[in-house]
Amino acid sequence: MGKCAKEYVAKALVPSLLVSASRAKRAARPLIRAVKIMGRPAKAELFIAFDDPYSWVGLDLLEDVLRGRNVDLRIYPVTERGISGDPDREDRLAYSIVDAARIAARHSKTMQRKDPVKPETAAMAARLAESCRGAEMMMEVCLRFLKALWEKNEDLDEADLFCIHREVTGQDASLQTDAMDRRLEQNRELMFKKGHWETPAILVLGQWYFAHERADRIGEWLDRAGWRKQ
Amino acid sequence: MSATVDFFFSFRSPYSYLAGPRAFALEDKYNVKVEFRPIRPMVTRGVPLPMSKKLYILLDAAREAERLGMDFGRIHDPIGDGALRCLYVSEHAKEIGKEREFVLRASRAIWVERTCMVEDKGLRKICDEIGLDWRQCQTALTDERIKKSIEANNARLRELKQWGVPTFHIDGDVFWGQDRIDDLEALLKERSLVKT
Repeated sequence: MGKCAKEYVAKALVPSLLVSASRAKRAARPLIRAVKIMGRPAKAELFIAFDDPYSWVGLDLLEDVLRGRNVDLRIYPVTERGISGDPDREDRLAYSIVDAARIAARHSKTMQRKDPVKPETAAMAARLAESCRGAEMMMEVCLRFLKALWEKNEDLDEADLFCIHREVTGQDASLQTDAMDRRLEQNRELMFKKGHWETPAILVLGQWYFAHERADRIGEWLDRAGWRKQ
Repeated sequence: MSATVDFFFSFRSPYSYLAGPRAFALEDKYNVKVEFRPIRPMVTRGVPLPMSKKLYILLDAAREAERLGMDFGRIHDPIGDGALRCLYVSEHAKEIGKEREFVLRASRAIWVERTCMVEDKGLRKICDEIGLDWRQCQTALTDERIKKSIEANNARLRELKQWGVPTFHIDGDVFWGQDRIDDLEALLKERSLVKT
Protein backbone atom coordinates (compact mmCIF):
# COMPACT_ATOMS: atom_id res chain seq x y z
CA MET A 1 0.00 0.00 0.00
CA GLY A 2 1.41 3.41 -0.95
CA LYS A 3 1.88 6.31 1.46
CA CYS A 4 -1.17 8.18 0.13
CA ALA A 5 -3.40 5.12 0.44
CA LYS A 6 -2.18 4.45 3.99
CA GLU A 7 -2.84 8.07 4.93
CA TYR A 8 -6.32 7.88 3.45
CA VAL A 9 -7.10 4.76 5.49
CA ALA A 10 -5.77 6.29 8.74
CA LYS A 11 -7.13 9.82 8.37
CA ALA A 12 -10.38 9.26 6.48
CA LEU A 13 -11.63 5.68 6.40
CA VAL A 14 -10.89 4.62 9.98
CA PRO A 15 -12.42 7.66 11.76
CA SER A 16 -15.44 7.66 9.46
CA LEU A 17 -16.00 3.93 10.01
CA LEU A 18 -15.65 4.33 13.78
CA VAL A 19 -18.38 6.97 13.81
CA SER A 20 -20.64 4.83 11.59
CA ALA A 21 -20.03 1.73 13.73
CA SER A 22 -20.78 3.65 16.91
CA ARG A 23 -24.08 4.92 15.48
CA ALA A 24 -25.03 1.43 14.33
CA LYS A 25 -24.14 -0.01 17.74
CA ARG A 26 -26.31 2.54 19.52
CA ALA A 27 -29.19 1.92 17.14
CA ALA A 28 -29.11 -1.90 17.14
CA ARG A 29 -27.82 -2.77 20.64
CA PRO A 30 -28.87 -6.48 20.53
CA LEU A 31 -26.98 -7.43 23.71
CA ILE A 32 -28.50 -4.53 25.59
CA ARG A 33 -31.96 -5.64 24.51
CA ALA A 34 -31.26 -9.16 25.73
CA VAL A 35 -30.23 -7.81 29.15
CA LYS A 36 -33.38 -5.70 29.25
CA ILE A 37 -35.64 -8.61 28.27
CA MET A 38 -34.14 -10.68 31.08
CA GLY A 39 -35.15 -7.93 33.50
CA ARG A 40 -31.61 -7.31 34.64
CA PRO A 41 -30.33 -3.93 35.78
CA ALA A 42 -28.33 -1.78 33.39
CA LYS A 43 -24.67 -1.84 34.33
CA ALA A 44 -22.88 1.44 34.89
CA GLU A 45 -19.28 1.91 36.04
CA LEU A 46 -18.24 5.30 37.36
CA PHE A 47 -14.66 6.38 38.11
CA ILE A 48 -14.27 9.26 40.55
CA ALA A 49 -11.55 11.14 42.42
CA PHE A 50 -12.03 13.16 45.59
CA ASP A 51 -9.65 15.91 44.47
CA ASP A 52 -11.80 16.41 41.37
CA PRO A 53 -14.66 18.94 41.62
CA TYR A 54 -16.23 17.46 38.49
CA SER A 55 -16.62 14.18 40.39
CA TRP A 56 -18.81 15.97 42.97
CA VAL A 57 -20.94 17.61 40.24
CA GLY A 58 -21.09 14.38 38.25
CA LEU A 59 -22.14 12.10 41.10
CA ASP A 60 -24.64 14.65 42.38
CA LEU A 61 -26.30 14.92 38.95
CA LEU A 62 -26.16 11.15 38.41
CA GLU A 63 -28.03 10.57 41.64
CA ASP A 64 -31.03 12.34 40.07
CA VAL A 65 -30.62 10.70 36.67
CA LEU A 66 -30.42 7.18 38.12
CA ARG A 67 -33.12 7.52 40.80
CA GLY A 68 -36.08 5.26 39.91
CA ARG A 69 -34.18 3.34 37.22
CA ASN A 70 -33.04 -0.26 37.50
CA VAL A 71 -29.33 0.53 37.19
CA ASP A 72 -26.47 -1.24 38.93
CA LEU A 73 -23.99 1.60 39.51
CA ARG A 74 -20.50 0.52 40.51
CA ILE A 75 -18.24 3.29 41.74
CA TYR A 76 -14.46 3.06 41.48
CA PRO A 77 -12.48 5.69 43.39
CA VAL A 78 -9.01 6.49 42.02
CA THR A 79 -6.16 8.62 43.30
CA GLU A 80 -4.22 8.85 40.03
CA ARG A 81 -5.86 10.05 36.84
CA GLY A 82 -5.20 11.95 33.64
CA ILE A 83 -2.59 11.49 30.94
CA SER A 84 0.97 10.79 31.92
CA GLY A 85 3.24 13.68 30.92
CA ASP A 86 0.39 16.14 30.46
CA PRO A 87 2.06 19.57 30.61
CA ASP A 88 -1.27 21.27 31.41
CA ARG A 89 -2.23 19.22 34.48
CA GLU A 90 -2.08 22.14 36.95
CA ASP A 91 -3.98 24.48 34.63
CA ARG A 92 -6.64 21.83 34.07
CA LEU A 93 -7.22 21.48 37.81
CA ALA A 94 -7.41 25.26 38.30
CA TYR A 95 -9.90 25.60 35.44
CA SER A 96 -11.96 22.63 36.63
CA ILE A 97 -12.65 24.46 39.91
CA VAL A 98 -14.03 27.52 38.06
CA ASP A 99 -15.96 25.42 35.57
CA ALA A 100 -17.44 22.99 38.12
CA ALA A 101 -18.75 25.97 40.10
CA ARG A 102 -20.48 27.23 36.92
CA ILE A 103 -22.05 23.82 36.23
CA ALA A 104 -23.21 23.61 39.84
CA ALA A 105 -24.75 27.11 39.57
CA ARG A 106 -26.64 25.99 36.45
CA HIS A 107 -28.28 23.39 38.69
CA SER A 108 -28.96 25.88 41.51
CA LYS A 109 -26.10 24.62 43.66
CA THR A 110 -23.20 26.51 45.14
CA MET A 111 -19.69 25.15 45.24
CA GLN A 112 -17.96 26.77 48.18
CA ARG A 113 -14.42 25.45 47.70
CA LYS A 114 -12.12 27.56 45.55
CA ASP A 115 -8.82 25.77 46.10
CA PRO A 116 -7.57 22.22 45.50
CA VAL A 117 -8.13 19.38 47.98
CA LYS A 118 -4.96 18.15 49.68
CA PRO A 119 -3.68 14.89 48.13
CA GLU A 120 -3.60 13.11 51.52
CA THR A 121 -7.24 14.04 52.19
CA ALA A 122 -8.30 12.82 48.73
CA ALA A 123 -6.35 9.58 49.23
CA MET A 124 -7.89 8.86 52.63
CA ALA A 125 -11.39 9.58 51.30
CA ALA A 126 -10.69 7.19 48.41
CA ARG A 127 -9.49 4.43 50.80
CA LEU A 128 -12.56 4.77 53.01
CA ALA A 129 -14.88 4.80 49.99
CA GLU A 130 -13.14 1.77 48.49
CA SER A 131 -13.52 -0.07 51.81
CA CYS A 132 -17.31 0.08 51.20
CA ARG A 133 -17.09 -1.86 47.92
CA GLY A 134 -20.04 -4.21 47.60
CA ALA A 135 -22.07 -2.35 50.20
CA GLU A 136 -25.24 -0.49 49.26
CA MET A 137 -24.11 2.68 50.99
CA MET A 138 -20.97 3.16 48.88
CA MET A 139 -22.64 5.83 46.76
CA GLU A 140 -23.83 7.65 49.86
CA VAL A 141 -20.33 7.57 51.39
CA CYS A 142 -18.79 8.95 48.18
CA LEU A 143 -21.43 11.66 47.86
CA ARG A 144 -21.05 12.73 51.49
CA PHE A 145 -17.26 13.03 51.12
CA LEU A 146 -17.53 14.96 47.86
CA LYS A 147 -20.23 17.28 49.22
CA ALA A 148 -18.26 18.01 52.38
CA LEU A 149 -15.12 18.74 50.40
CA TRP A 150 -16.48 20.67 47.42
CA GLU A 151 -19.98 21.91 48.15
CA LYS A 152 -19.43 22.87 51.78
CA ASN A 153 -15.65 23.45 51.69
CA GLU A 154 -15.18 21.68 55.01
CA ASP A 155 -11.60 21.45 56.17
CA LEU A 156 -11.67 17.69 56.69
CA ASP A 157 -8.94 15.80 58.46
CA GLU A 158 -8.62 12.03 58.76
CA ALA A 159 -10.83 11.87 61.87
CA ASP A 160 -13.60 13.83 60.09
CA LEU A 161 -13.55 11.41 57.18
CA PHE A 162 -13.79 8.40 59.53
CA CYS A 163 -16.64 10.16 61.31
CA ILE A 164 -18.62 10.68 58.06
CA HIS A 165 -17.95 7.05 57.12
CA ARG A 166 -19.30 5.93 60.51
CA GLU A 167 -22.40 8.15 60.21
CA VAL A 168 -23.30 6.60 56.85
CA THR A 169 -22.33 2.97 57.42
CA GLY A 170 -22.97 2.69 61.16
CA GLN A 171 -19.60 0.95 61.51
CA ASP A 172 -16.05 1.90 62.35
CA ALA A 173 -13.77 1.48 59.35
CA SER A 174 -10.69 -0.65 59.77
CA LEU A 175 -8.30 0.13 56.96
CA GLN A 176 -5.22 -1.66 55.77
CA THR A 177 -3.68 1.24 53.92
CA ASP A 178 -1.36 -0.74 51.63
CA ALA A 179 -4.03 -3.19 50.60
CA MET A 180 -6.50 -0.40 49.98
CA ASP A 181 -3.94 1.57 47.92
CA ARG A 182 -3.40 -1.51 45.77
CA ARG A 183 -7.15 -1.68 45.15
CA LEU A 184 -7.23 2.00 44.21
CA GLU A 185 -4.41 1.38 41.74
CA GLN A 186 -6.39 -1.56 40.33
CA ASN A 187 -9.34 0.81 39.87
CA ARG A 188 -7.13 3.17 37.87
CA GLU A 189 -5.86 0.25 35.78
CA LEU A 190 -9.45 -0.85 35.18
CA MET A 191 -10.38 2.64 33.94
CA PHE A 192 -7.47 2.65 31.47
CA LYS A 193 -8.09 -0.93 30.39
CA LYS A 194 -11.75 -0.22 29.71
CA GLY A 195 -10.79 2.82 27.64
CA HIS A 196 -10.76 6.04 29.65
CA TRP A 197 -8.19 8.26 31.28
CA GLU A 198 -9.96 10.81 33.44
CA THR A 199 -12.67 11.26 36.06
CA PRO A 200 -15.64 11.40 36.35
CA ALA A 201 -15.86 8.95 33.45
CA ILE A 202 -18.85 6.63 33.37
CA LEU A 203 -19.38 3.61 31.15
CA VAL A 204 -23.11 3.01 30.68
CA LEU A 205 -24.29 0.17 28.46
CA GLY A 206 -21.17 0.40 26.30
CA GLN A 207 -21.10 4.21 26.03
CA TRP A 208 -18.50 6.40 27.76
CA TYR A 209 -19.55 9.79 29.09
CA PHE A 210 -18.16 12.49 31.36
CA ALA A 211 -20.76 12.47 34.12
CA HIS A 212 -20.47 16.17 35.01
CA GLU A 213 -21.27 17.44 31.52
CA ARG A 214 -23.34 14.66 29.97
CA ALA A 215 -25.75 13.70 32.79
CA ASP A 216 -28.83 14.51 30.70
CA ARG A 217 -27.43 12.52 27.77
CA ILE A 218 -26.88 9.54 30.09
CA GLY A 219 -30.56 9.76 31.05
CA GLU A 220 -31.57 9.91 27.38
CA TRP A 221 -29.39 6.90 26.57
CA LEU A 222 -30.93 4.87 29.39
CA ASP A 223 -34.40 5.92 28.20
CA ARG A 224 -33.60 4.84 24.63
CA ALA A 225 -32.22 1.53 25.86
CA GLY A 226 -35.38 0.89 27.89
CA TRP A 227 -34.26 1.63 31.46
CA ARG A 228 -36.79 4.40 32.10
CA LYS A 229 -37.62 5.93 35.46
CA GLN A 230 -40.34 4.03 37.33
CA MET B 1 -21.57 49.13 25.03
CA SER B 2 -19.65 46.37 23.26
CA ALA B 3 -16.98 43.79 24.05
CA THR B 4 -14.61 41.39 22.34
CA VAL B 5 -14.89 37.62 22.62
CA ASP B 6 -11.69 35.78 21.69
CA PHE B 7 -12.53 32.51 19.94
CA PHE B 8 -9.61 30.03 19.97
CA PHE B 9 -10.13 27.41 17.29
CA SER B 10 -8.36 24.42 15.72
CA PHE B 11 -9.34 22.82 12.42
CA ARG B 12 -8.26 19.47 13.88
CA SER B 13 -10.83 19.67 16.67
CA PRO B 14 -14.31 18.26 15.98
CA TYR B 15 -15.58 20.25 18.96
CA SER B 16 -14.34 23.43 17.24
CA TYR B 17 -16.40 22.45 14.20
CA LEU B 18 -19.45 21.96 16.44
CA ALA B 19 -18.87 25.34 18.13
CA GLY B 20 -18.26 27.34 14.93
CA PRO B 21 -21.81 28.31 13.88
CA ARG B 22 -22.87 29.29 17.42
CA ALA B 23 -19.60 31.11 18.09
CA PHE B 24 -19.79 33.34 15.04
CA ALA B 25 -23.55 33.86 15.59
CA LEU B 26 -22.73 35.60 18.89
CA GLU B 27 -22.12 38.75 16.81
CA ASP B 28 -25.68 38.53 15.49
CA LYS B 29 -27.25 38.25 18.96
CA TYR B 30 -24.97 40.37 21.15
CA ASN B 31 -23.00 43.59 20.99
CA VAL B 32 -19.72 41.73 20.73
CA LYS B 33 -16.94 41.32 18.24
CA VAL B 34 -15.87 37.70 17.84
CA GLU B 35 -12.08 37.74 17.46
CA PHE B 36 -11.21 34.55 15.63
CA ARG B 37 -7.88 33.15 16.90
CA PRO B 38 -6.81 29.98 15.08
CA ILE B 39 -4.21 27.81 16.81
CA ARG B 40 -2.11 24.78 15.95
CA PRO B 41 -3.51 21.31 16.88
CA MET B 42 -2.77 20.06 20.43
CA VAL B 43 -0.45 17.27 19.31
CA THR B 44 1.80 19.74 17.47
CA ARG B 45 2.01 21.72 20.73
CA GLY B 46 3.45 18.74 22.66
CA VAL B 47 0.21 17.73 24.38
CA PRO B 48 0.01 13.90 24.53
CA LEU B 49 -3.13 12.42 22.99
CA PRO B 50 -3.61 8.69 23.74
CA MET B 51 -5.87 6.50 21.63
CA SER B 52 -8.56 6.33 24.35
CA LYS B 53 -8.90 10.11 24.32
CA LYS B 54 -8.89 10.32 20.52
CA LEU B 55 -11.66 7.74 20.40
CA TYR B 56 -13.72 9.40 23.12
CA ILE B 57 -13.51 12.80 21.42
CA LEU B 58 -14.53 11.37 18.06
CA LEU B 59 -17.52 9.38 19.35
CA ASP B 60 -18.67 12.04 21.81
CA ALA B 61 -18.48 14.66 19.05
CA ALA B 62 -20.66 12.38 16.89
CA ARG B 63 -23.28 12.19 19.67
CA GLU B 64 -23.09 15.92 20.25
CA ALA B 65 -23.48 16.63 16.52
CA GLU B 66 -26.66 14.53 16.59
CA ARG B 67 -27.97 16.55 19.55
CA LEU B 68 -27.17 19.84 17.81
CA GLY B 69 -28.70 18.68 14.51
CA MET B 70 -25.35 19.07 12.71
CA ASP B 71 -23.97 16.74 10.06
CA PHE B 72 -20.87 14.79 11.06
CA GLY B 73 -18.98 11.64 10.20
CA ARG B 74 -17.50 11.58 6.70
CA ILE B 75 -14.14 12.71 8.01
CA HIS B 76 -10.72 13.49 6.67
CA ASP B 77 -8.56 14.19 9.74
CA PRO B 78 -6.46 17.25 8.80
CA ILE B 79 -3.68 16.48 11.30
CA GLY B 80 -0.38 17.82 10.01
CA ASP B 81 -0.20 19.88 6.85
CA GLY B 82 -3.96 19.88 6.26
CA ALA B 83 -4.67 21.69 9.51
CA LEU B 84 -1.75 24.08 9.03
CA ARG B 85 -2.82 25.02 5.50
CA CYS B 86 -6.34 25.76 6.77
CA LEU B 87 -4.86 27.85 9.60
CA TYR B 88 -2.81 29.98 7.23
CA VAL B 89 -5.70 30.55 4.84
CA SER B 90 -8.06 31.33 7.74
CA GLU B 91 -5.68 34.08 8.92
CA HIS B 92 -5.67 35.48 5.39
CA ALA B 93 -9.48 35.23 5.28
CA LYS B 94 -9.60 37.11 8.58
CA GLU B 95 -7.53 39.94 7.12
CA ILE B 96 -10.13 40.48 4.43
CA GLY B 97 -13.14 39.91 6.72
CA LYS B 98 -14.11 36.46 5.45
CA GLU B 99 -13.07 34.28 8.38
CA ARG B 100 -16.62 33.27 9.29
CA GLU B 101 -17.35 32.00 5.77
CA PHE B 102 -14.01 30.20 5.44
CA VAL B 103 -13.96 28.60 8.88
CA LEU B 104 -17.51 27.26 8.70
CA ARG B 105 -17.06 26.01 5.13
CA ALA B 106 -13.61 24.44 5.67
CA SER B 107 -14.56 22.69 8.89
CA ARG B 108 -17.65 21.26 7.25
CA ALA B 109 -15.46 19.99 4.41
CA ILE B 110 -13.17 18.27 6.94
CA TRP B 111 -15.79 16.73 9.27
CA VAL B 112 -18.69 16.12 6.89
CA GLU B 113 -17.42 15.93 3.33
CA ARG B 114 -14.15 14.00 3.82
CA THR B 115 -12.15 16.66 2.01
CA CYS B 116 -8.37 16.32 2.04
CA MET B 117 -6.93 19.73 2.82
CA VAL B 118 -3.36 18.67 2.07
CA GLU B 119 -4.16 18.67 -1.62
CA ASP B 120 -4.66 21.95 -3.47
CA LYS B 121 -7.76 20.47 -5.09
CA GLY B 122 -9.62 20.21 -1.77
CA LEU B 123 -8.53 23.52 -0.26
CA ARG B 124 -8.92 25.48 -3.49
CA LYS B 125 -12.50 24.28 -3.97
CA ILE B 126 -13.43 25.76 -0.57
CA CYS B 127 -11.59 29.02 -1.27
CA ASP B 128 -13.27 29.38 -4.69
CA GLU B 129 -16.70 28.72 -3.21
CA ILE B 130 -16.46 31.58 -0.76
CA GLY B 131 -14.72 33.96 -3.13
CA LEU B 132 -11.16 33.90 -1.85
CA ASP B 133 -8.50 34.54 -4.46
CA TRP B 134 -6.54 31.31 -4.79
CA ARG B 135 -3.26 33.03 -5.63
CA GLN B 136 -3.51 35.13 -2.48
CA CYS B 137 -4.31 31.99 -0.49
CA GLN B 138 -1.21 30.28 -1.91
CA THR B 139 0.87 33.28 -0.87
CA ALA B 140 -0.62 33.09 2.63
CA LEU B 141 0.56 29.46 2.98
CA THR B 142 4.19 30.62 3.18
CA ASP B 143 3.66 34.07 4.70
CA GLU B 144 5.92 34.55 7.75
CA ARG B 145 3.69 37.34 9.04
CA ILE B 146 0.72 34.95 9.17
CA LYS B 147 2.85 32.29 10.82
CA LYS B 148 3.80 34.79 13.55
CA SER B 149 0.17 35.71 14.05
CA ILE B 150 -0.75 32.04 14.64
CA GLU B 151 2.11 31.64 17.08
CA ALA B 152 0.87 34.75 18.90
CA ASN B 153 -2.56 33.10 19.23
CA ASN B 154 -0.94 30.01 20.75
CA ALA B 155 1.01 32.20 23.16
CA ARG B 156 -2.14 34.12 24.11
CA LEU B 157 -3.95 30.86 24.91
CA ARG B 158 -1.08 29.85 27.18
CA GLU B 159 -1.14 33.26 28.88
CA LEU B 160 -4.76 32.55 29.73
CA LYS B 161 -3.58 29.24 31.24
CA GLN B 162 -5.66 27.33 28.73
CA TRP B 163 -4.69 24.44 26.52
CA GLY B 164 -7.68 23.19 24.54
CA VAL B 165 -10.19 24.33 21.95
CA PRO B 166 -12.69 25.70 21.42
CA THR B 167 -11.95 28.29 24.09
CA PHE B 168 -13.70 31.62 24.56
CA HIS B 169 -12.30 34.57 26.49
CA ILE B 170 -13.95 37.82 27.48
CA ASP B 171 -12.38 40.29 29.91
CA GLY B 172 -10.67 37.64 32.05
CA ASP B 173 -13.47 35.05 31.98
CA VAL B 174 -12.62 31.87 30.11
CA PHE B 175 -14.95 29.14 28.81
CA TRP B 176 -13.59 25.92 27.36
CA GLY B 177 -15.77 23.65 25.23
CA GLN B 178 -18.54 23.78 22.65
CA ASP B 179 -20.93 22.87 25.46
CA ARG B 180 -20.00 25.96 27.49
CA ILE B 181 -21.37 28.49 24.98
CA ASP B 182 -24.57 28.68 27.04
CA ASP B 183 -22.49 29.77 30.06
CA LEU B 184 -20.77 32.40 27.92
CA GLU B 185 -24.15 33.64 26.69
CA ALA B 186 -25.40 33.85 30.27
CA LEU B 187 -22.45 36.13 31.04
CA LEU B 188 -23.14 38.29 27.97
CA LYS B 189 -26.75 38.69 29.12
CA GLU B 190 -25.59 39.50 32.65
CA ARG B 191 -23.40 42.24 31.19
CA SER B 192 -26.37 43.65 29.23
CA LEU B 193 -24.76 42.93 25.87
CA VAL B 194 -27.93 41.59 24.21
CA LYS B 195 -28.73 43.40 20.96
CA THR B 196 -32.05 45.21 21.04
